[in-house]
This record gives sequence, C-alpha cells and structure tokens, in this order.
Amino acid sequence: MYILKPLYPLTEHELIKSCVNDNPSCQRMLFDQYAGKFMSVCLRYAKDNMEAEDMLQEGFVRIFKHMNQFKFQGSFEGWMRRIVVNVALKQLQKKRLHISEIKDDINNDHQLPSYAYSSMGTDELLKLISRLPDGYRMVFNLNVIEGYTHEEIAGMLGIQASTSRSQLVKARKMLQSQILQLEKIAV
Amino acid sequence: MIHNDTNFDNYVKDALYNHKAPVPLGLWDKIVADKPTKKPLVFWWNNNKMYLLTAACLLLVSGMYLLVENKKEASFASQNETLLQNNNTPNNNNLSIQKTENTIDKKAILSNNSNQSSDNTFGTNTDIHSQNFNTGKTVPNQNINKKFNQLLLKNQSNQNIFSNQSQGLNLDKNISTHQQIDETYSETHHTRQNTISLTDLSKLEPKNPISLLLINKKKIFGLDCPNALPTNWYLEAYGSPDYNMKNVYANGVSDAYLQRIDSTTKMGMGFTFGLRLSRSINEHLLVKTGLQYTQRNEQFTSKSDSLITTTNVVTIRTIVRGGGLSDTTVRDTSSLQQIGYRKRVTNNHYKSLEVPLLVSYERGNDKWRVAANGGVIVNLTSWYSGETLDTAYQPVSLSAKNNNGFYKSNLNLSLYASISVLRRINNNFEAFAEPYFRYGLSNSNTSAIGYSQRFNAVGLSLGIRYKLNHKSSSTAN
Repeated sequence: MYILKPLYPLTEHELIKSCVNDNPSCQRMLFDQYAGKFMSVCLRYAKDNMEAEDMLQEGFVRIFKHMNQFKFQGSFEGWMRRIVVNVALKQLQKKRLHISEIKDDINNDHQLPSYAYSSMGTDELLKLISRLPDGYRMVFNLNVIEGYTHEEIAGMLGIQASTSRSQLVKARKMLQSQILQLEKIAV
Repeated sequence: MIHNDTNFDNYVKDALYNHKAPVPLGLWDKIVADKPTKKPLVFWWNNNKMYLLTAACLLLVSGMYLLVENKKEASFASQNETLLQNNNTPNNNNLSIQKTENTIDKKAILSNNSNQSSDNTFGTNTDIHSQNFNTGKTVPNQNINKKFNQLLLKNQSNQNIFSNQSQGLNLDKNISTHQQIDETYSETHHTRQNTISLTDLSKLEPKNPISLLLINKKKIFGLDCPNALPTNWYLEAYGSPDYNMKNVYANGVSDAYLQRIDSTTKMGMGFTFGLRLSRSINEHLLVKTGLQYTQRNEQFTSKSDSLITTTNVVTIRTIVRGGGLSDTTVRDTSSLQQIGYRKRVTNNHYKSLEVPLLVSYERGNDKWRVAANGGVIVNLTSWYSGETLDTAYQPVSLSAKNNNGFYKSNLNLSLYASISVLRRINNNFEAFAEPYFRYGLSNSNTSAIGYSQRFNAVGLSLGIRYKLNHKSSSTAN
C-alpha cells in the first residue's frame, strides 16, 4: 500500500488499483483529475452550487466505495460519470422530483440560427439549462449530453419513453427560446 | 428543423460534456471524512447484536454440556437401579443374592431407627449401612424409605454390578460368609414386605462416596416425580425443497433501479438439509438444535448492449435478350441488418450454514404424533456466487472471493414455524413430514447496496428421527 504520492506517473489501471487499496494520495489524484468535470455534471442537474456540491461529495464517496466493482471493461470515466449521474438523480428523487407536463406557449415556428448560440459562453449555457424545469432538465441532460436513449431514461426516471421524448422536445424549445431572448436583448 | 435540432444538440454536448467547473474548496476533506472506513478484522467488534448472540451461544453450549452431564449421571443411576431396584410388584417380595458357589439366602432387613433415618436416603453416607443393617435382627421398618420405597438387591444384576469395582462399590469377596443379616422391611401404607439379602453389609463400603451420591440423586428426584419419563434424545436427519420469496425495499436507490433488479431476477427452488438433536424436557415439550445447509437459487437475466448482425446478400440475375444480343448478368448486393440484444442468464446461489434453535410441542399416540415447532434459525455464515446489477445498471459479479460488499457473510436471523407429522416405523425410527414457513428478520445484504433484501421461504422437510436412548430407557422400564 502506498503511503506517499508515487514518484512516477501512474497508468489508469494502476491508479484504480491503488484507489481500491485505499491509497489516499492516489484517491486524491483521482479526485483532482475528475472533480472539475463531475462538478460540471452536478451543476447541470442541481438547482444551485450547494446542491451540486452535495451531489459531487456523495458521488465520490460512492466511487471510492464501489471502485472494486469496476471490471476494467469500457471507459473508467464513463463508469464514474454514471455513478455521479445516478447519485444526482437519486438526490433529486429524494426531493420528490415531479415530471409533469408544463403548458408552454412557445412558438414552434421559431428557428434558432446557429450563430445565435455559437457565440454563447459555456457558463451562460449552464445557467440557461439550470433554469429549465426539473423534468425538462433531467431529460435534456441525460439524452443530449450523457447520451442515454429514451428507453434508458424512462427506466432511470420511472416514466414512459414517450414522456421522455416529449419532455426533450419541450426542453429544447424552451432552451432555444431563452437563447433567442438573450440574443434579442443583446441586440 | 431536425437538422437544426441535431446541430443544437451537438453544440450543447460539445460545450458541456467535458466542461470543468471550479470545485469548491474543502470538498476533498468532506469526502475523506465521509469515506467508509475499512471493517475491523474481528467482524463483530463493534456490533452489540453479536455480543448478545455470542452470549446466547455460550449459554446454549453450557446448557448442552450440563444436559450431557446429567445424561451421564442418569445413565449411571439407571445402571445402579438394577442394583437397588424399586420393587413395586407385589409378587416380588423376597429376593436374595445368589452366588454361584455359595447360594445363600441372606436377608437383610432394612431397619430404620426413626431418629436416624427419618430423612435418610439410602447410601447418603456410609454410616447408614453400618447403623441400619443389624446382624441377626429383624426390625420392622416404620417410616424409612418413603423416599425411595423398597430397595432390593436383585440377584443377577447384583453379581454383575457388585463385582464391578469401577462403580465404587467394594463388595468383599467373602460375601458368602455365613453371617446372615435379616432385615425385614415393611412399609405402613404398603401391604407387602420386602427383604434384601445381603452378606455382611457392613463390608459393603463405598469406595467412592460420590458415586453413591449419584445413585441417590436419581432416587431423590424420583421421589418428587415418581412417574417421570426418562429423558429422550433424538437425532433427526431431514431434507427439504424450498420455495423462496425475496422482498426488496428501497434504501436510497431509485424505484427505477429496484424495478430493474426485480425484472432481472427470478427466484427458483432451493433446498435445505441438516441434522437436529432433540431432547425431551417433559412429556410433550422438546428442544431442538443442530446444523443445516440452505441453498437459495435465483436466475439473473441481463441484456447486453444491442447486438447488430449484418449479412451481405448478393443476388445474380441473368437477362436473356433475343435478337442476337448477348445475355446480361446483373449482380445486386444488399445487406440484411438484424438488431437485437444479447441475453445472458446466470444462476445465482446464496448458500448458508445455519443453526436452528427450536422448541417443539408434541402429542399423539404410539403410531402417530403431531408436533408444532417454533423458534429461530441463526445463520452462521453465508457465501454467494452469481451476478447482480450495480447502481450503474452493469452486471457485477457476486462471489465470496471478490467480496464486493453487497451481501453479508455474517450472522442473520430468521423466524421458523412448522407443523410435524411423525409416523413410527419401529422402536428406534420415526419418519416425519414437516411443512414450514420461514420469515427473514434481517437483511441479507449490506446497506452499501442501497436497498434491503430479505428472504422468506416455505418448504416441506422430510426426514427420519432416531431415538438415541431407546435401549437405556427400555431397560430402566
């Protein structure tokens, strides 16, 4: 078991093995390497920074706890990301996440030109996503960014696949509408 | 429109998938504080339940030890009963010691001096022999031996037992001397007279006073409960097909995950076999304990990612054209794509070694008996093999070697209730059928997995019961 930080760069395999053996310095290395990315993931699901911080903390605790289950098949980052996403969903479901149809009067005819969002910063985009209603935000994040299918999302959230599809369409429309409004204000 | 949406989605994904946000300061310290610590080497170190269970096991072991010791004493006393047999049959009034060489009928009359033996028991001390057996005297016994009735020496068994030095009685070789002791015993409330023939009983000295105490112990208890049944010991061997039921409750995981767990697993038939030792504590009650092996089987079905099989089909056609034109060959290539899931079925096995601690109430006649049993089953150790889903919906291996912290390997408790029907086969053996229900009191998995899982079972135990002390009890009778 390592006590000191290893002097040579570890491969991912060695890093995982060391973390499984409860090596604190290697666990810290893993945290430093992925905490930023996963904080961004949590921010997309959470309403605010505090909630995202709680999700990230719980996510890393679970990652270290269940790291011995990783079978070195597929991407390690993907495996960790799935855990973080599941923790985020679990925390939201604890707060009785309610996915319901929201009556919106967004004009379907709006076509969002690519220049409208291409100049937009990532932080602004994150803010806009965080303003989406819970159900829209979950489905949009899971489908568009994480790449889950509607069937998988339906299983994860306990909803119908058709509900997931409709939520995605509405989320996308709402987001585009907000981007257009921002654009108008800027002009 | 669709193209526009796809562009928008790609833009968002590219922008956010690998985006890094600033991590709050001090988060690592919180994670370190929240990280699970490794379990201590001694698994029950901080577990109050384990202390209680250890105490219960110690009590059980010490109880069993005492029972075995009592059993030894009882068997010793029953052997000596042949020496000092209670003469309850009116016809057997006079018995005598007969030696092969010198057949001498010597009557020893138990004399009872009221001031000496009002509360004496035979052989409580050696003085009784020297004081109560008077040479050549016949003294009616008025009130002695209410506690142990009429004690006679049975001729045949006396020869065997008296010659047995290891039993602590040192009978002089000169038992055939002509000294005759006649003691007539009469009991006021009994109409019969009994005599004991002994030769020079003053020489009948106990080498080991303790052994005489052991003899008397049985008789003393016999006084309090003259019709007490002998303690019966049974050995039961049984086997049972089990139908197991699994209850799963959320304990942090999402309902969707539980649904997935539920849909991927299906309990199958299991089995139990074991040995139980039973001891009767009165006419109808028995206590039972033993060791049994239980195996629960479960079918785990997982779907892997979509499997795409592509088959290329080449079709060749020949077009025959008339008018002297040559034929034309046309080759069409098409591909057939089949999309499906790879389904994998794994058999999970949950195996346990368990100790049943049961109380049984039994009634019936010589042929048929019915018993109601109840108690707990203590799971000593468990081990697992197979697969399950982790929280990321990935199949993960369950095995004792790669202990992934999913399942407990230490103690669990179950409640057990059953009805037994027993049929006597012969003097030693009985066959029984025992439908039972078993209710799991504690979870079989750890809290780390995020849900609680308990097993209940119904089954039908079929087995045989062997009476261990059949011979000794029959000779006592």
